[in-house]
Amino acid sequence: MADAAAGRFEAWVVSTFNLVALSLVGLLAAHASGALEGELAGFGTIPGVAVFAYLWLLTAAATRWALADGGLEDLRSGLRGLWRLVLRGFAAGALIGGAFLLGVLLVGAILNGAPLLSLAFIALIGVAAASVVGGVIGGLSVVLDAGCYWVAGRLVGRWTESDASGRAADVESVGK
Amino acid sequence: MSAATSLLVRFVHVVGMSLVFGGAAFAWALFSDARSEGTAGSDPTPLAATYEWVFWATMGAMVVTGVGNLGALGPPGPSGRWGTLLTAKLLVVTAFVLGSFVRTLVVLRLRRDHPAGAGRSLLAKSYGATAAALLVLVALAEVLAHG
Repeated sequence: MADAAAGRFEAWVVSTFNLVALSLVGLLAAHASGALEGELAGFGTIPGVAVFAYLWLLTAAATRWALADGGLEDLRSGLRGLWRLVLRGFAAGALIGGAFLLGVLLVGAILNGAPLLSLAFIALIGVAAASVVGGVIGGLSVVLDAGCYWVAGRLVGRWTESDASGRAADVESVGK
Repeated sequence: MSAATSLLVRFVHVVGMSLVFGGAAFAWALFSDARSEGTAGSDPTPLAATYEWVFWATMGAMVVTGVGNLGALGPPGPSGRWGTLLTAKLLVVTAFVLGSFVRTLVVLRLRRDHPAGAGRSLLAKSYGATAAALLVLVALAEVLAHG
């Protein structure tokens, strides 16, 4: 029960962090290239929120799957664990990329009444390309997550050690 | 964007910031208080985990509303004073999000690997740093909004 709760917590924070970090990097790149103004002008608030919510949902579900078999704890088994997580991250990212584009295309086609044949053709090529891009982003995200997990482990190790030695010194001085 | 939608977007953004800042300041004050250390129920990680759940939900909402705010204001190009300030704010937010993720993973590792009550001083410092970084972000946001 506690493990299930810890798994849900891990999937939630990892998925949301990856999505927020990716959004910020995308925003920075769009702003630095001067493309942000044009992109925002052609995008309404409600469609923007709906697209982000859909991507968030996909990321949360795919991350839950990617972390289901041990999660970030798998990194304790060294490079083998990291490699396993990167592969799962690649697969999860590919799923997110493909499903995201497919969903957006479908809704766009329904709203604009596009012919079914041209939609299927675009979806076939587009979903394959989006899956590759999503997979690469997913694999890179795992490397970033693993780096942060390692930093957190170093911090916890150093701090709990110094806390324990501080308490031991207190007990010793009281004993004298 | 209509005036009502713009107001709603800003409302959610401001409430989100109040929530994460207030929560971080509260956690910092609570975990720094030596009187509650070593008492029954003094394990800081359940409260920290609750904050992290709320924090990341709020960060997601703040990214969307932040982009919505930019859409309402009409972002300039990267050059000029406003454009440079926006670049600076986006860089600081990115660094803050990265640091916050490390803080969250600290909570996760403390819950998994350490006895109840361990790492209290580390959590106090983490939440103090979070509150301080959020103050810097609020100052940057004020300069962006009001010049």
